[in-house]
Amino acid sequence: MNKDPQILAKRLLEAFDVFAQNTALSAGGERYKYADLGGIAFGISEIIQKHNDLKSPVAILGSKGFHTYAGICGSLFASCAYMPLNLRFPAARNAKMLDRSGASVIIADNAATPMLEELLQQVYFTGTIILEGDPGNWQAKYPDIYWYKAFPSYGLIPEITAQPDDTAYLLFTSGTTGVPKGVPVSNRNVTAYLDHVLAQYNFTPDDRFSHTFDLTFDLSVHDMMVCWLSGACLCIPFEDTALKIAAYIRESRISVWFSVPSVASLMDRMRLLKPGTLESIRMSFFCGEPLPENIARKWRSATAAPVVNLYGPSEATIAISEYEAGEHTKQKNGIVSLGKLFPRQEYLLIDPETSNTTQTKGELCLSGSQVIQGYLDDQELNERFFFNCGEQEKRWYRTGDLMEIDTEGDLFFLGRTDAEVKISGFRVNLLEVDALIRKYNGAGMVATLLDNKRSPRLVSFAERTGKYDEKGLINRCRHELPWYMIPEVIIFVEKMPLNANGKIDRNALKNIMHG
Amino acid sequence: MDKSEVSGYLMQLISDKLRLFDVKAHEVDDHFDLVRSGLLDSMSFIDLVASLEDKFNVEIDFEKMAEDDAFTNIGRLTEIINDARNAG
Repeated sequence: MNKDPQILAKRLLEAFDVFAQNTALSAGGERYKYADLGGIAFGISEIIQKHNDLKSPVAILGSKGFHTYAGICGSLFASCAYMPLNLRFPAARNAKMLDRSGASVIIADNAATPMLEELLQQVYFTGTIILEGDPGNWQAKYPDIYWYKAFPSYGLIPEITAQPDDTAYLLFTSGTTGVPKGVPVSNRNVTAYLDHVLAQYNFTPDDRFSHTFDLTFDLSVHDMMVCWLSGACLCIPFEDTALKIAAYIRESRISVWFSVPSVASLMDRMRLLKPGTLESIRMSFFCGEPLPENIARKWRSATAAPVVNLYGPSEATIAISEYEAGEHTKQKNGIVSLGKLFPRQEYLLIDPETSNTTQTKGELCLSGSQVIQGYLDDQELNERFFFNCGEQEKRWYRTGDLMEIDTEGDLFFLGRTDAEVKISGFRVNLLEVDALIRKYNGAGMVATLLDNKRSPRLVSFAERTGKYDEKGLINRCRHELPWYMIPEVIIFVEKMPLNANGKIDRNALKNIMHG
Repeated sequence: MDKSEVSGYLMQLISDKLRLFDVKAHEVDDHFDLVRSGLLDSMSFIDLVASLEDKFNVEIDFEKMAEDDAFTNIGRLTEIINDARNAG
């Protein structure tokens, strides 16, 4: 049976059938129909099925182009999870993710050629690689790998065997030690999210969806899947889009907008949020970081359309609470409320120190069909961030987000219980940056701070050991960390300032930073 | 007015970045692209433009500016700021 609402691939298959003649994708001036995307995806899924008996995740290495999306759909049609890599990450980071995921198939487009070359030099890979172009020289150079070209083999409709608890996509997020945390999101998790969003908001096949997120960011799953299950068109931004975002919105006639609030703030700084200037947009979503009330207000007046603030960690699948910012937007310290949890999802507030439940303020814990069962192969992390309690020993996830809830049940973000910060929506654990600097700087103490004075940037302080200079350390970071985790400056101190408790005195460091 | 004043101030603003990115002086000509080279992300590029606006007391039309495909080049950016200065 190819019908089961809890399986993402089966939902997609149905949509591809119903909307076959609609445009699924608009990229680089080309338009692709659902029938074309499906046809190539079936072909890719046939290759995957031939070579991936163990159903390990399929790595996606590519730009936002047709081949990449066909690869994502093809992986799902082959009843496998997909695991996005990132062309803007250093090869060492992609190599770690590839290795941790256990992927035995890589799908790579033409834009990925230099990264693939570097990757294969860093990891011993003996699986299958499906290219957009001809395998030509690759085959001779890496004879242990099965090489394929994806085009132009249209495949047959696949038999989907994925189960609700099987992983649909696997993402990695910043950890404390330098090993990225694997977040496996199941078919049950992602279809629970989609069920709510599709029922709550009214999308139509005439809609044109924005696509501002990197594929390694789970909000991109919303873009693709909400769009395709609605029969709408996903509009891929052209290069340099952050600075040319107004032109992208206008030329692509975007009707459904989704981005981090930083993109809206950037447009505001470019004085582009004037009333009525973004009139093609009929509904906007923001997620990934706190939404300033003044930005929500300006965006609403520029679009003359509803603005919805979404909140949720990747571990609870894309987003799990929603708030519509309207005439009288609830806010705290200028930040829009995160609203209420989606129906059928549950929360608890606990004291982060004692783990006792609290009433109005505390660390948010989540449970329900959208919450993952645990991190990929890491018992220690799972014991720290997940617990079972309550009726039927439900599984709970500790978000690390401190929240306050008002009398009407709306949530407000207060801060973090740990060293995690957000930079343009990307989760950065400052301890991971510290760990990398310490690895090269040697014995000295290290502390990284988020400087929010202008555009957010990381500033690291390190005790002088003489092993590397500032340029050398930043260069190491550039080789191993994603761009948003690289400190902009490293300031050497002879001795790290400590407070009365013997901990690093962050206020003293802030004074040095702004002094 | 002479644009060398603008380019001088611009170079001063990005000098730390150039040093940390190990960019050699001879590589930084008018065609050097501040964003595509990876030197600045879009946020810091806007920071840079804002600093130039403050210093030279001009207001840039970003929408018009972004139509120019080369506006993230040092040379083009300098011209845009200098033109605005002379117009104002």
